[in-house]
Amino acid sequence: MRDVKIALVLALALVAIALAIVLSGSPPAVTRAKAPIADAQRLGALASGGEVCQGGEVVPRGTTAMRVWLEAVIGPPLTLTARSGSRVLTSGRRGAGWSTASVTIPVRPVSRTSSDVTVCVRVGQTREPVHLAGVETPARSASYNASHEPRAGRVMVEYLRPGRSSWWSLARSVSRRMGLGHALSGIWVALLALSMVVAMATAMGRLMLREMR
Amino acid sequence: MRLPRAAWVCAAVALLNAACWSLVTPPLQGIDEPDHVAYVQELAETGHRPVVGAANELSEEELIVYEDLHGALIRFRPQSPAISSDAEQQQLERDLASRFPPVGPVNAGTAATEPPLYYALETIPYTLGSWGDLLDRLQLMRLFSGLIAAVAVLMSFLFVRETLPSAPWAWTVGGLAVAVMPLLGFVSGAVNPEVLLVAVSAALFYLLARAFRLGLTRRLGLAIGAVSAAGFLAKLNFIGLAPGVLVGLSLLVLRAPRASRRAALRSAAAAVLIAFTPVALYVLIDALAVKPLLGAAAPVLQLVQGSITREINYVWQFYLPKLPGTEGYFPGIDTARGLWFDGVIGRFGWDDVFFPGWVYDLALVPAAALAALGFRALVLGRGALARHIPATLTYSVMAVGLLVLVGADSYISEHSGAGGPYWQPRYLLPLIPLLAVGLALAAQGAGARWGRVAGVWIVVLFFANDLFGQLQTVARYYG
Repeated sequence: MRDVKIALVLALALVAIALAIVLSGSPPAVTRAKAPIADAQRLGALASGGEVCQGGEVVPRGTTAMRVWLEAVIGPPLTLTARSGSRVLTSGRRGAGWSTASVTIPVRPVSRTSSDVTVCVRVGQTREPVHLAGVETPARSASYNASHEPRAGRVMVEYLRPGRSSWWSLARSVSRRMGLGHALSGIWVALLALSMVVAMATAMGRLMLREMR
Repeated sequence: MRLPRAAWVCAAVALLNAACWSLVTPPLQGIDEPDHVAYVQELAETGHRPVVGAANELSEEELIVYEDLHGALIRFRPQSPAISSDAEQQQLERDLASRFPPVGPVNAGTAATEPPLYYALETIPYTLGSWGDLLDRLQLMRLFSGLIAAVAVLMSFLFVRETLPSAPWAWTVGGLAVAVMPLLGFVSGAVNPEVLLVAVSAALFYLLARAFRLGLTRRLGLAIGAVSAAGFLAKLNFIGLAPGVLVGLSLLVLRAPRASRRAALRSAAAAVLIAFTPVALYVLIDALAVKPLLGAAAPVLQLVQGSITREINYVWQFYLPKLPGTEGYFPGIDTARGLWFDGVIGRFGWDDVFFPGWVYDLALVPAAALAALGFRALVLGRGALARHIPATLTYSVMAVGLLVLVGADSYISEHSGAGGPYWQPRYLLPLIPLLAVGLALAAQGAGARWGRVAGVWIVVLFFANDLFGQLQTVARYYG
């Protein structure tokens, strides 16, 4: 019984510590190029080994990930490289298995803002075409493929860096937003969810202490 | 039979978990939820199932609410949060208070081919919520899904009890771990017929385990038949479990003592008769109406199309690494890891809520430890294994049958150009009773001294997965 009690307290304490660490962190903030989603257009697709590049990008200081508007059902591995002239500013990889209309690729943190950067995304082996989404532009500023043929526009690339506010400090606004668009309204939604988690933990703990003596 | 209190607590925890997920996931952002709600609404308001050829996918009311919630702009786009301004909320409230025309025929999109039992049950909370607006009704429907999940967990607990009768403490490990499994919480916190299939499957695992322990009595035969009939009416994926049930019934008859074999045979026959009655009725109704047999589900049920070897190869690679010399269907991805393992650890919403990549890598460590502990328990208990071969064979055929059906469905869909691949991790949820037993075994594998401690850690590990899954969902929609 004593062992079970100690294990339970220790395990829950570890979860509480992990929770505190996560909530002390900051949500990623989009530093540039947040486009109106409704304006996004399809700009063709990439097959295995295909690449899309676009120049004239500004990569902000502190960028730790880039969100590229690519779409696939089973997304292939991706490699992203950001170059300023011939110098590689940063790069990153994303494994296969992503499945949405945009994909976030973690990159080496960028120490200072650089302009006129060329961002290229190369697609690994893929079973399906990877669709590109963005906004239509004239050919001279459009993205292009490996043989420098322009596409119909620029692919949306968003630059993410750790935000400045911790999740703790955002708790109030997150709670407020949880109260919108639901059957219940107001901050009660968040409080109710929280109390349910506490009730679950209590019921589990008591049951384990009783049944696993 | 009196149920242990621990089973009820596990069920209550599952209900709480589902209720929590129902608050965290924005309305109509459960996967395919708009279509499932449309099906319920059509059934409740008109008494008819969705019409495949109907022009509208959703009712006007649901469509307006979906637009007000920016549903189509949010799904598949992790960068798009849920509504966040008072103006958007006021617009939604104004529209919810409006009068809408009576619900006309809708096609209910992807839900149209599904059988009606889950939707018929969901008309109860839908009707009970007639005092409120569509969001109130949706919340009640979600809670009803949670109740069904509680039944699934209760049955999983009882399955563990039947399978490992000598270790009562381990029942709690299996029951609680699946009760707080985030994937189950997410699915049962939304409107989705998958949850009924999970409950039906868990009940069948339990009833079969009980029959393997006590023999196939008339009562158990009738119960297996009734639950199987409910399965056929719950979701088409039940077809994958059915061969395993037939194998189980056959083995139960064969291993019955000579004196009671005839009675066991009668019980098995009754089970089969009851199980297939709804299917026969379906066929009869369609035949009388001169419609394609099994209606809209008929194309889905053509499980073999084109080359059978190509289909087998596809289904193999859907879960396992490609064999040398075969055509590759999933280049560049390890499906077992990238699709299924990662999916079970956590992909929520419209597959657009997920953990950072390192979480899935880290999850491999406890998963490997649990597999090793489970294997150790099997090695230590190998003396008793021979006794369980018929039951193990039955459960294996049920599991493989489901996996093959899901893989074949995906292949056919791709082969016929209808979309896909369809690889939703939730399709594996009907196998949670096996997971519960596996986890209970893993705890036992830690030995007499540390087994209970390992059990506590297993449950808390699943709880942590659930908690952080919900936080990730909160961050994605409201952060």
